[in-house]
Amino acid sequence: MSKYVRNKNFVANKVVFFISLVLILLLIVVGVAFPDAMNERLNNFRIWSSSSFGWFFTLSVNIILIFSIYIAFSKYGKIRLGGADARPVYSKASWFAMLFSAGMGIGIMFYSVAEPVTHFGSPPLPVANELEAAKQAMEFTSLHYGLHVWAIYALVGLALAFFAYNKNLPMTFRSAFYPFIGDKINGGWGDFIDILSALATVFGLATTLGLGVMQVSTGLEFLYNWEVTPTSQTIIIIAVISVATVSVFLGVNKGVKRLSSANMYMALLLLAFIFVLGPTVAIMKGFVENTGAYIANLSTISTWNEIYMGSNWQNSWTIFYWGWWIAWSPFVGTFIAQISRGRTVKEFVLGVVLVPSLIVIFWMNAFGGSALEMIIAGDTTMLHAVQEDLTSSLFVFLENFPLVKYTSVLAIILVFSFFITSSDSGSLVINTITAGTEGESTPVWQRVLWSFMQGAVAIILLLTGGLEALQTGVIAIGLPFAVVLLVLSYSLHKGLKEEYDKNQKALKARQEDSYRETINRIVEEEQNIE
Amino acid sequence: MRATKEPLNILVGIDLSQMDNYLYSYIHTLDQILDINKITFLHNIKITELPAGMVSEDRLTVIKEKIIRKITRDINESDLTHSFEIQVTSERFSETSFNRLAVMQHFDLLIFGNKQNLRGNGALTSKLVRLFPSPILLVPETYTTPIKSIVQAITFSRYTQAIIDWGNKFKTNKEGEEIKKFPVNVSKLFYYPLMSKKEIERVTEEDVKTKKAKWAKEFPDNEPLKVIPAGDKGVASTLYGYAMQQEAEVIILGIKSESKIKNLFIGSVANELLVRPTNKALLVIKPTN
Repeated sequence: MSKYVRNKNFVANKVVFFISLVLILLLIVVGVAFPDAMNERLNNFRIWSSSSFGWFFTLSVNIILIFSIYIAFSKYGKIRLGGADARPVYSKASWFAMLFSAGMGIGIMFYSVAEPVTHFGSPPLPVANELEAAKQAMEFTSLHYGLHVWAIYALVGLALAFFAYNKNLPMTFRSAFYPFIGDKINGGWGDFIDILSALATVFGLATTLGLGVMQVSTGLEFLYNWEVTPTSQTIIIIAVISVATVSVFLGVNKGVKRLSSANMYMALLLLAFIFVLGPTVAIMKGFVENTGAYIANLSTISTWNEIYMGSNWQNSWTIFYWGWWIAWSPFVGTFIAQISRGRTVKEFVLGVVLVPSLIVIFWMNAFGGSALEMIIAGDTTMLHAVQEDLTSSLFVFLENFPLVKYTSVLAIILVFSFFITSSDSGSLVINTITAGTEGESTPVWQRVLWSFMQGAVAIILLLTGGLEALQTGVIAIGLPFAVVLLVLSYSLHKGLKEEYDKNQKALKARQEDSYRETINRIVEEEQNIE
Repeated sequence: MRATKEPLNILVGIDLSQMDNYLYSYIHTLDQILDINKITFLHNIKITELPAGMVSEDRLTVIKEKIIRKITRDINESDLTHSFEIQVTSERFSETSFNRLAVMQHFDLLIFGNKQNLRGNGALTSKLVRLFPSPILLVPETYTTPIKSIVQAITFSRYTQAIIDWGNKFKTNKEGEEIKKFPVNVSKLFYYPLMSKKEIERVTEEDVKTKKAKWAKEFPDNEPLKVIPAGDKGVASTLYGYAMQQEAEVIILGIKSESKIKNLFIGSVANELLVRPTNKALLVIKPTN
């Protein structure tokens, strides 16, 4: 009996669909029935996994960054996604704009002020003075949002695009393992990979939704004194998911796409507002200096593992981020792959790694850098506010600017709309993976189901343990997925090598055949004449 | 470079493709314009592309004979009436064959096909443009004749005299018409984004004036120099555009190598002209010792 169901009411790879669903439901049931026990277990798991395997995350992301750069500049860099005759569908300008939009998200709304200010308040590495503390804060923020993150996305996006466009395989994770396990991608191993990528996407999204709801509820409290309670947060998540799913029902997908472009403009508006009314020169100076320092210290901070320090700062920050980005990679990778047909491997990697990294780092410097500038100038309100409640940082920061009522509303709207678009496209990705299909339409209920599942996971994690539980979720799924990504690098390299060798062989065979034929023909002709 | 009055020894690279027939016809055209002493045709058997059974010494000798016979017959059937010599070698790398022959004999010019639509990747051409010691004339199969006019890319460098001399070798075509020369210099201001429009105009105007005066003073016996501002276009595109406008059949330019080590590299203008689709023959002048 085939594991694939294809009928009007149900389109799925049953193994992937049901196992993913059962695992998620199990988590939800346990979370509802034993919230305290789950919180404790999750917490223990987080401490254990990040303390025991933090080094592995650190090593993995560095390998991925080095691998991406190597691939870009190697002989494989010239391979074109979609074959030698493929040409990019989008112009460079719109491709960059789309990559930029991929880089925008709840993360930069939530952490752009909170992260540098927190690191400034409690520096991860010992510092002599506040100037060094500020620089170090920006360096770590850049690390968490910079080259490594985008190298992860570049790897996943490249693998998805390469196997889909050059090898004609469906654009799902299992396809990327073709050179490694061959036809087994259609069997148990392929299912396992797809289940893992579906779960990673669910947890990655749940974390994003969790952070988003925390910030929105704080924002609403800040503006209208609406109390932040678990119920209000649950209502917000359900409301957002409902908006996203209702849009699917009504067939207003175009509306969500428009919202997605509107997000980009709103984000740019907010950035321009801070840039113009904030310390413009300091932002530019900070961007140049901090980016330089980040690049100069990249090898040190990206391999730092808290050895001999006895602290576990990294578990709540760097390791959490690596887990989050890794979990988020099927989602962003799929999007990037879809818009990059016709690019060469080199163009793809350099575009995906450099452009969004620089933009996001600029954003962090505009928000976080300005916040640090204000603190060093003597205004410590933000420092205290962040120490008290991380989620309030953006709103306290905006208080330093005119029109705070409007900018705060804009920020909340922005988080809300990021929220809706992420949930919407995320459920689409999970739906595609669990349906084991691409292009074929699935019944609407399946997408609604996955939408609500990610919402439910977000609610359970948020209610059982808040931010820490969200972090645990992504670290837990990020760990096995990091192994998957390393195998993926190997598999991609193998695939690229095969493609390159095939092209070279074909070229050589063409030349040899034709030259050999020419010589044979001449010898034959001359013999005939004789 | 040898004195311009002496008849020329020419080496022609052939690859047993359709291109060869175009080259025979083109050389016939050149024979009516230039003073040619000796023409040598060279083909190197690509032994790496033949099966092991075909590259034994005996077999290669037979193949060489047959190739020589085939080339001879093809040339005899073509318009070319000048006497010639044929060399068939079997070096591992074709460029070695050309360079070895150039060590043994002096050649004033190497003629090579610059395939536009015919199959070939141009790898050997680009290697020889870099490594062969004499000037190289690259002839596309899309060339046009009779040769009526020539564009000479003047950069006021050490190639300039050689470019003028080579231009002077092309006096009259087979119809007896005088071949016109268009010496041209492309004025390119690489720093123009930092300047105002007015400033650019002023500097360009000055550049044009200076170069024209220099040309008139240093090379008074030649056609007046045309100086074209490139604006934001590339030098190669501007040069090619001018050749199109003048309906020139040949462009003469320097390869732009200033030292021994730089012989390995090729100037960006020469390179761009080499890779762009064209129906003009390119005469690439090499640095002289």
